[in-house]
Amino acid sequence: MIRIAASRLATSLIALLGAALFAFIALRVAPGDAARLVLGPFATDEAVQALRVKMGLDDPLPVQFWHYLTSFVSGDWGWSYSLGQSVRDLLGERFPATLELGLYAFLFALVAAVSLAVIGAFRRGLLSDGVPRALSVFALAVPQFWFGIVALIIGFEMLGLFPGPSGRLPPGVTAPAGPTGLYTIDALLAGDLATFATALHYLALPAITLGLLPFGFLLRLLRANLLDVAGEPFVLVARAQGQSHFRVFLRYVLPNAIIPTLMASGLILGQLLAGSVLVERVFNWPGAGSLVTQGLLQQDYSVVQTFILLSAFIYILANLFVDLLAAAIDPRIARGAGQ
Amino acid sequence: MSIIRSVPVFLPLALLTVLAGAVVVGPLVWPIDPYTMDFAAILAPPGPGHWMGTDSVGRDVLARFLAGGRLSLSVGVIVMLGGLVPGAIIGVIAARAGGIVDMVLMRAMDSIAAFPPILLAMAVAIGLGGGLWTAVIGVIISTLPFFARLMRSEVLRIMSHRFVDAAESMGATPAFILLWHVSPHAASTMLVQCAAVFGYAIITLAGLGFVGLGAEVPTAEWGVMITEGMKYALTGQWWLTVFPGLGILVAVSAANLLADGLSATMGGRHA
Amino acid sequence: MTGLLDIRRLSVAFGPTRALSDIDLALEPGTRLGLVGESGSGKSTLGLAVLGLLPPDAACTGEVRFQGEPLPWSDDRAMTRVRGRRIGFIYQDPMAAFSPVHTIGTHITRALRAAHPGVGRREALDWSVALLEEVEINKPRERLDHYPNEYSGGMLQRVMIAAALVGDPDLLIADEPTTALDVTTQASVLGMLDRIVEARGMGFILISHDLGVVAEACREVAVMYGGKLIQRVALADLKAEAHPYTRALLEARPTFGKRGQRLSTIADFLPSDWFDDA
Repeated sequence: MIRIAASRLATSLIALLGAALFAFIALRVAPGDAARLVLGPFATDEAVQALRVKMGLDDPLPVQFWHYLTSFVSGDWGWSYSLGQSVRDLLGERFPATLELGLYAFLFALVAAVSLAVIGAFRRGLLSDGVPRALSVFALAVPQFWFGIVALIIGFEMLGLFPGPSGRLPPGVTAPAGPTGLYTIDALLAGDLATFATALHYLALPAITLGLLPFGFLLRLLRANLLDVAGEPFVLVARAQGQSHFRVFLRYVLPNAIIPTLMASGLILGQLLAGSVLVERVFNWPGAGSLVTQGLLQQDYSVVQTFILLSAFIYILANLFVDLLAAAIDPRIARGAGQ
Repeated sequence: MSIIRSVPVFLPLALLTVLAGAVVVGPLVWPIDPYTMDFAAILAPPGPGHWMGTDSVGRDVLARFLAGGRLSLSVGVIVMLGGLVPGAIIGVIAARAGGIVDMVLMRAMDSIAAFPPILLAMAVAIGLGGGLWTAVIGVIISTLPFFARLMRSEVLRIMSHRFVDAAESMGATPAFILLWHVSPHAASTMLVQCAAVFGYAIITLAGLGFVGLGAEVPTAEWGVMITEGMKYALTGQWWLTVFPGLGILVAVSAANLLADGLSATMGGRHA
Repeated sequence: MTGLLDIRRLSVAFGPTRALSDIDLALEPGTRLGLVGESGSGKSTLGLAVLGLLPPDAACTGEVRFQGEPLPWSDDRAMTRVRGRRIGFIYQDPMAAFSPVHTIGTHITRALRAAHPGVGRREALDWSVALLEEVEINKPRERLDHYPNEYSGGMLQRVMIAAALVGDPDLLIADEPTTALDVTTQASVLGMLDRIVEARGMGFILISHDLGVVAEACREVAVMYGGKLIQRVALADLKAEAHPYTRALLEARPTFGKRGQRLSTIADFLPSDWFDDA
């Protein structure tokens, strides 16, 4: 177990270094002027030159990479010229909104995918089989930002069932004060059910939109895994011992299918992070993702650069965590022994 | 070929062919220029003169849809080939060289794959100064790990078969074995991957266009059209956003279904 | 007197492929029958058909009576009460017959509580220990917490036998129970099966491609070929009145007398009616 953990840790470290190196090459060494990228098109040449010196852009590349890496790891992520704030403060401010959105998107994806996959695998039939199939094809092929717009056209403009693209709460409702910054949880902690319901109502369309891709992905993966496991001999043997179809499914098929599915959690986290950039813009959601879009449109790239590298780091660490978790859960990896 | 006759392959292939045919032949049948503004017909709803309506400066949405489709599909093909060739070469080199070369190449691929693909493409596009072609390069780079890993494992898998030992014992050179024995096996797997990457390229480039990093504003491109149409989506002019999005949805579903169909027909795992 | 098992005109088809055609087979209580044939002859299908565990795309016709009553195949809930409690089943590959993420104890207690719904958790645990002792697993209480990958094939097969016996069935169907094991383990597992079946006086169907294995544990042999039952004969009379195909099977068996000679193979017995003409 310790040896496995050590080797996983080592590969993750290499991947972290590699990702940082890639970002460094793409954003610093590429033809564009990195100082200009940070300061934007309206900065004076003197300011750009000053920053070049400050960023050490005239140093040898390895030295530059070292500075890039150390300042990133120490949380020195630069300055947004268009918003006049440090990137770290900006991201810190916006992070809870993205976290809350991502959390509900993930919940939606997980619950919807597991229930549909289970229904489809437990009872094979045209409807229980065809509907999940069609939904996963749709979810994997629909551009999320477009789906968000169409959801607004139908749910807000035509039917009036959902709020428009106006952020997390309607104007006039004060955000609940609380430790987490997640409005639904803070509202619950304060016992304010009305605000909780409003926040949830405002979350519904954005969360479904953001969760759509992970939903399709999970559904497809879980379906394939369930079908695979259902054909395993141990399922037949358990049935022959007189355990009912339903119990065998719940006790043997599901756990064996879910473990490999959970191994994809890192990928799902990546989908959520990348998706938030597109989806938050559609719903004017005041999170880190819309900060990135804003930065892109105003050519203020310091936030964008940080968000991109941060996503890679989060992805790698999530994968490391999942690997270690799997090693702890799955006896085949955990004890390694056997015949 | 018999593969083409199987329904899960034929249907999506036919759909893609129809779509490609429509966007290529379309301009001959529908001769309105996608960039000509007609201020007499601003934001006209779909009707006899403009089947998909017109946009805020009176450009014909159907003409722009067709032009955008041409762009999207060709960019899909470019990304597919642009990723396939270097990716496959990296995979073969890693598998054949082994040792430190293999380690370095594969760790490099891991590092690239650590970025959510669209964010990686963003980084590359920003670094190269923006615009459609920098985004295309970014998307191509993001596909390299898929192709390289797959090719590497295919080569390793096939090289471990007995018949390769037999060929070697009869004096076949590594190059001959790769060409004669490995490539036909690897080709089918890579074909599946190509279909999937084609769809992935279309949807990702549309997403980049949506945040201003792909095609730029006047260009008739599906992602850009959705961005432009977004302003009018909630004031009743739904046709500006709905049609280009449907185009993406259809093209990408067809590509994904084709990938599934190919992999099922050629004996892969079912989806 | 009602027999134990009475199979009448049983046919099974998977699409155009006919796996079993018109099988008639009757078993008295306590009968020990070896079901032999090459792979693909339909012998495993016959075992699964009796248990009602064929895959859903199998088309199954005919009737199987068990202790006088027809088996309720169409009613899975009723079949659940037959499986494990009245008919036990042992699968051929012990390594694949256990879920890799559950402990051996979990497997046994689940089988136990399926056969005896009233049994509590503690009682099931003690019972499992006793069962493992019965099939000669050392340190059974400790071993309950281990995962299948920590057991050897022979041990797993003995655990599977124990799990198949918890409901005290009247008929035990063993599908190639020793094929996946090495020769010495084969002998010990087979010996154990033989003793248990003898002691309990239960009916026993041993499915095997190996006449030697069948001769160890059975009194009678039924030979299957191309989905048909072509001969049923007492073991003692096998050599005397064998069907030409059975004789060919016998010839293909390695024995002491044939040392140094080339074993004969079965060449021209390809089933002709493998596919329906339709």
